[in-house]
Amino acid sequence: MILRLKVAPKVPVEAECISPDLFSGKSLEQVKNLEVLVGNKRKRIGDIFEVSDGSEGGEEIILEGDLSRVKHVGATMSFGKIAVKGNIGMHLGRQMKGGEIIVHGNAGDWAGAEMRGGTIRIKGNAGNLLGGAYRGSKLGMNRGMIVVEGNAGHEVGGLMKRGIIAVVGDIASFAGAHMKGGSILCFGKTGARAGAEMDRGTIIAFNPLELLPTFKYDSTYNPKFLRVFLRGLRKHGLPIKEAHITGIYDRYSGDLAGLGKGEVLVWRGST
Amino acid sequence: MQINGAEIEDTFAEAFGMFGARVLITAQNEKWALHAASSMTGFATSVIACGCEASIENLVGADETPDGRPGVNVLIFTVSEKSLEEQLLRRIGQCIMTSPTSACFNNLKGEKMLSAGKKLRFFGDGFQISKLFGERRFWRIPVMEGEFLVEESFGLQQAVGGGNFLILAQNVGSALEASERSVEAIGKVRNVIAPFPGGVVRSGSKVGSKYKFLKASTNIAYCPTIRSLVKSELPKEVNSVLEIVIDGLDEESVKKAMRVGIEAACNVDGVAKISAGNYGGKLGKYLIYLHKLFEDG
Repeated sequence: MILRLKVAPKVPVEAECISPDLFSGKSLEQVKNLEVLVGNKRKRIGDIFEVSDGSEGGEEIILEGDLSRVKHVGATMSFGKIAVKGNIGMHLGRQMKGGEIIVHGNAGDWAGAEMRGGTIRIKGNAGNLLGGAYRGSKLGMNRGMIVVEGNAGHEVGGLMKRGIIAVVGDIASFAGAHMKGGSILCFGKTGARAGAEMDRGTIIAFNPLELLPTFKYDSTYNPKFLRVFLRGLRKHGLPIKEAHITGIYDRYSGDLAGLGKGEVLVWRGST
Repeated sequence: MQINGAEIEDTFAEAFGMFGARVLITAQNEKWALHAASSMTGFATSVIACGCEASIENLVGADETPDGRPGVNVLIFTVSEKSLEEQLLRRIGQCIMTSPTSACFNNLKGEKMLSAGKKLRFFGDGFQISKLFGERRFWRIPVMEGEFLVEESFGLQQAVGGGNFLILAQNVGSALEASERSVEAIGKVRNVIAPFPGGVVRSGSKVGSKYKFLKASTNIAYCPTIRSLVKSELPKEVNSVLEIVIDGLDEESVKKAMRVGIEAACNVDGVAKISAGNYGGKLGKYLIYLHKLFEDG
């Protein structure tokens, strides 16, 4: 199914119905009649998108145009694929359980927030709170994988419990704040206060970073689990060098202001 | 039936249903992966007295292992799911975790999963760390050398234990050379192991004994030194018998191993006959007829 934006909306569009779960088994007309919110007005998908049938059974959805204001695409999806040929708005793939989303542009804030499975790949930049938790929630991302080829904003992986977030570029401040588990990999520069109040989980920095004083150095070694992770992640096109796999890492435990069973691993180069 | 002049007796090997798992051990180099594997498969020749039967299946290249280091596949077999988990827990804990630089992975997509790694994690005394990658969960246990990585669950599948054949030779030299060639050929077959020392048994047993406290005793019908005292199965020219026992993850692999093993043995001068151990077909689930091995192949 191909959805081409007729005109870039001036107000936010809430389009959580754009999901393989809801498109599956529906005819073109039924898809056009699915409801979206344009600002505070109820409209139909057919009102703002040109819809054409270009795939099999709605399990693959292609979105075209500048969708920077289109929110909640792929929310709670459990299977299938969404390809966004342009930018996409906030809450992309929030609470998704499975399937795959690929964005050939930038994504807004809260992409993959509280996701429970599946894969999100953002070829451009991601906004703030990537894979994070909504206000009041106890857990952020809890399984699945997010790959960002550009940079990511603040509070990436906040309250994250499981899963992997890999950012090829830089991450802004407070990555992994309140983290409970899972792994965040940053191939660029990791911003200030990474891991603030993290209980568990792993932040892997491939460049030196400034750590909070509540992180304490443990040792320098080659983590075997990271070898497994990095070898597995290679197929996702991440810039993983052999030296990342075989190299040594400084391990810091923290945040000692919290439970202190989290860790920051800082790559130091080849052995 | 004869192969290279050696008679293949028209009999069958009686094999039993078992449960099997495959553990992949990696380490800094092949030497240390083998140290861990050798330790894990020590005292694991017969399930009767050792609790399990285990041996090295094959070496695995660094490019084929999850962590990119040299590895060794070990197959382990027991008679119940519960005992398999117990043996995995003991042997991974005492033999692999203790071995420097080792890591331990499941390498069998089994019918069920046994949570040996999940139980072993408690050795970390609260400092163990769980890592989930895809559907695989790993445990990182801090140890004095650094960190031990073990997969949480190990696949189990129904397997076949006790495939066997006997090499009846004119002298011990011929029997040993034939056995070595057999084991070498069997080593090229996947999914099987020969769990006895060097893959060879010299003290095959029969069920029961004149002593009530013994469940098994020496196989007198094949002992050359008491040939005149018992109902012997040995031809006149035979003065030494060695047995190859094979466990496998499936019946076909055991049959293949038996076939290539017998063929290799029959290439040695002095091998007079190939036979097989059975209990009249009353005890084992699998009856593997020697002649059929060659008819099918």
